[in-house]
Formats: sequence, structure tokens, C-alpha cells
Amino acid sequence: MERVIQFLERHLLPVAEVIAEQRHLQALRDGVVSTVPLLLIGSFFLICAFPPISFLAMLVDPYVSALLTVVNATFGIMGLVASFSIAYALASSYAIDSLSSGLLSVSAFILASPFTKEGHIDSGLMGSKGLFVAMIIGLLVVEVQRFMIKKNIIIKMPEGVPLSVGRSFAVLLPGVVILVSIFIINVMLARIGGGSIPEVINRVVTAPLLHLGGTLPAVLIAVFAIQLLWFFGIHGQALVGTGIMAPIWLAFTQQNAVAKIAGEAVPNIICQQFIDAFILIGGSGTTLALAVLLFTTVKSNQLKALGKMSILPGFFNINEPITFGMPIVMNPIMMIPFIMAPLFCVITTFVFMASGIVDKPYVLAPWTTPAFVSGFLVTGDWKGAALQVLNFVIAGIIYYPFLKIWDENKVKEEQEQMNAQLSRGNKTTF
Amino acid sequence: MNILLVCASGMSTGLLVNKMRMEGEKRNILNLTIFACSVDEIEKYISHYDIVLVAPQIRYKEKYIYALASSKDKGYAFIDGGHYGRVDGNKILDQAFNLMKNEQHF
Repeated sequence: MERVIQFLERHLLPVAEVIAEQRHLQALRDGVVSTVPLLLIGSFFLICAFPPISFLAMLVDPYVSALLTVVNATFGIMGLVASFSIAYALASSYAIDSLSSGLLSVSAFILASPFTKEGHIDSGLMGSKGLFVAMIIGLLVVEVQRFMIKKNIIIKMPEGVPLSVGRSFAVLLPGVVILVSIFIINVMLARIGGGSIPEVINRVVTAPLLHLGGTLPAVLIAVFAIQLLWFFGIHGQALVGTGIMAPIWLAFTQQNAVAKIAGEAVPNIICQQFIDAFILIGGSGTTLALAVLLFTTVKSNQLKALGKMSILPGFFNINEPITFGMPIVMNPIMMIPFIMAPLFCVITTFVFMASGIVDKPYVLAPWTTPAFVSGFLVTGDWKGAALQVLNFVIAGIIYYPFLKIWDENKVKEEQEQMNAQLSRGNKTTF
Repeated sequence: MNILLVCASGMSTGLLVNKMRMEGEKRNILNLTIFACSVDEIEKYISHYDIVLVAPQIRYKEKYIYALASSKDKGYAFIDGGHYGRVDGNKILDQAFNLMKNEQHF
């Protein structure tokens, strides 16, 4: 066991470093996550438009379509916004002029998305249907720019023309290359009847990726990885949750909101809220139950103090006092429930939503929203809060026996310390 | 002294800010500024602070923090996991002062 732990520790940190430092992954993460504030504001209006209490719903009924304009301007343009912010983030990491990269990427994104027959922007492609298009175009735009700058591809001006004239053309050149290439691809795709760029990307990249990312095993693997990293003291949620899964989970979040607006059934169980509201109850490891147990049942002084310190942050889903203070990090006893509890919660949440007993989430709430409130908010269904209570209780049952063992260890440790002090004290007095 | 605390989202280091301020008041330290931010925001703030203390759970970002801190000529250190878990303002303030002292030698 110890060997396995040592082996993993030695090999996990370098992998974590690579994932965190990989600039394309980082740009995708930063770019997509930068849309979250907009989604949160949109969510506020989404709740106002569809309040979960029927009396309120009647009151707002005449204003629903007005309220939904805000949802359209936030959730609805997630892909468009990401096309800017992804290119912006990647260009910043290369120290290329990030504003011009971002703007060029928006232009390329719009050019790649075919207009409607009436000549309007197709709003359907500006949301999550455009998200993966935005990701690919955003990265490509910056890479083309960087390549051309690196290879020093510029238009040579005859002598006598001021140098700055040549430079002003050089700035335009990557933009021309990118937009002309997209234009040519558009024309060619239309010729062979292969659809549009978003259609091709969505068929080849998005559909398989979302299909895989939306399955129960994928979430179990992601949550397992998050927990394992935390066991080694590495912020797994930031690294795997936000770092790798966020584009997929947020795309599902967006699809759910859009379906709700359209009056359709909310399609996805797995989404950002699935993790934030139902799994991370109290923080990674579903530790709110553990914080409450620490606060109420332990005998060791050290753990009692920890209980007092960890319970309030726990309600806001912050649990570093527990992970590092108990500690759970590098503690093979507490590792077992720390990994098991959230995995069980994934399964119960999935089962209750798949069977239709609890509504699927469509509102995005900040991840710091206290448990039992957030379950109701994100689903608009009181059973969402009940499911959180159930997950909380399950986590408590899983943690309890391991907490008892650890508590006994700590009590013994404290007694030994006290005895050692007493005997030392005796020696000095006599 | 100006101390910048950094973690993944600035939340858990936020717990520490008050503890360290209280400890600073207890020791009668004037001009103590402590601020917590996320690792993504560190570039924005680092110039205004003397030293950077980093939460242990983002030690996979060390290369990035090292490069940034040395380019700005700031000292940085990782906070001990045990101190971090106990939100031990006393020990972590000690660490900040030691780091500051070491910086001034060079």
C-alpha cells in the first residue's frame, strides 16, 4: 500500500504539472470559464422567468419573454464569447497582441457559421452548438498568427517605402490568411454538399466528445481522479473539474437552459450543476457531512477544534481545513471514504434524475451556494434539495466508521502526549 | 509588509486572511496588508505585494509561480499543509516574516 502511494505521488505531480501548464488546455479552460459570470447572470433571469413557486410563476407570466431576452444575451452567446476569450487567453500566453487575436477569432467564428436564408446571424450557432467551433477556431487563429510571426512571413516592400508601411501590412496578413482559408473551406463544403463548418465540427468532434463526457462512467472516472489528486494534496477540482471537464459540463449546462427557454424537456443529467450542487456538498469529497460529524461526535480535542473551524466554510463548500487539517491528504484511513462518498453520490444523483423522480438542473448557481439551497435553486424542484439531504446522509454514513477510527487514534495520541508531559512534570518537581 | 496569498480560487486563502490580520494586530504590527487571490489573478496583483505565500494544493503550478515571482523579484513560498489546514495565522505569519528576512539578505 505504502509503495503504491509513493509510486503514485512521484508520478502524479509531474502529470498534474503538464496538464496545468499545457497552454492550449489552459486557454480552453480560461476561455470557457470566462463565460461563467454571464451564465450566472443569465441564470438569475432564468429563475425569475420560471420561478419554482406556482404563485410567482403566475405573477411573472406576462413578462417571461422580456426576461428571457437576458437569458438569450448570456447563455445564448456562450460560443461567440468563448471564440473571443479563448483566442485572447492563448495569445496572452504567447505574448501576442491578444486583443487583435480575440477580435480576429470572433470574425473567423462568424464567417464559419452560415447565416440564415434571410441573411441573419444564426443565433442557434452562437450558443453551445458553437462552443466547440469557437474552441477550434480560437486556437487555430492564434497558432496561424504565431507561425507567421515566427517565420517572419511579411510582405517585402520595395526600397523607398517607409518601413512602417510594411509593418502595417504584416499585422493584417495573418488575418487575411485565416479569413480567406475559412472562406475557401466554406465554398468547398458547399460544393460537395458537406454542410457547414459547425456541422462538420459538431459531427466529428462535439457529438462524440459530449456523448462520452455525458455518460455515468465518464463522471465516475472524473470524480475518482479529482479525489485521488486531492488525496495527494493537489487541487483535483481545479485541475480535472475545471481544467479538463468544464467545457463539456458547461456545454450541457447551456443546452439545459436553452431547452428550458424553448419549453422543451431538460435533456442532460450530467452538467456543471450536477457536480457543483450534488457531489461537492461541502467541497470535494462531499465533506459537509464529515464537518458536521466532526462538530458533533468526536472526542479528540484536536478534531473538536477542527470541527468548529470547518463547519462554516463547509456550508459554502470550502473544505481545505478538513483536507489539510484532519488531514485527509496522505491519510490512507480517511482516503477510503473520501473517494467512496462522492462516487456514491454520483450514482444516487444519476439514478434519481434518470428515473425522473428529481428534475434535471437547468439553472447555474455559484459553486459556493450552500447545499440544500442550491439543490432547489438549480432544479427548481424541492426534491432537488431532498436529494442533497440524501447525499449528505449517505456521505455521513460512509465517513462515520472511518472517522471513529481516526478519532480513537487521535485520542490515544493526545493521552500519550499528556502522560509524557505529566511524567516529565513529575521528574522536575520531585 | 504586504502579503499576497494565492490558492485555486482565492476562497480557502480567504479564510486565512482574517486569521493573519488578527495575529498581526495581536503583535502590534502596523502596515500589514494581506490579500487573497486566485492563481489566475496573481499577475494582476503581484506587483503591489512584497511576498507571495502559496496554498499547498496548487503546488503543481510551482513552475509558473516561480517564473512570475522571479521576474518581478518577489519572494514566494508554499504554506505547510498542516499549518494551512489549521488556518494557523500565527505560524504562517512567522513564515511570511522569515521569507521577508531572507529576501532582504540578497
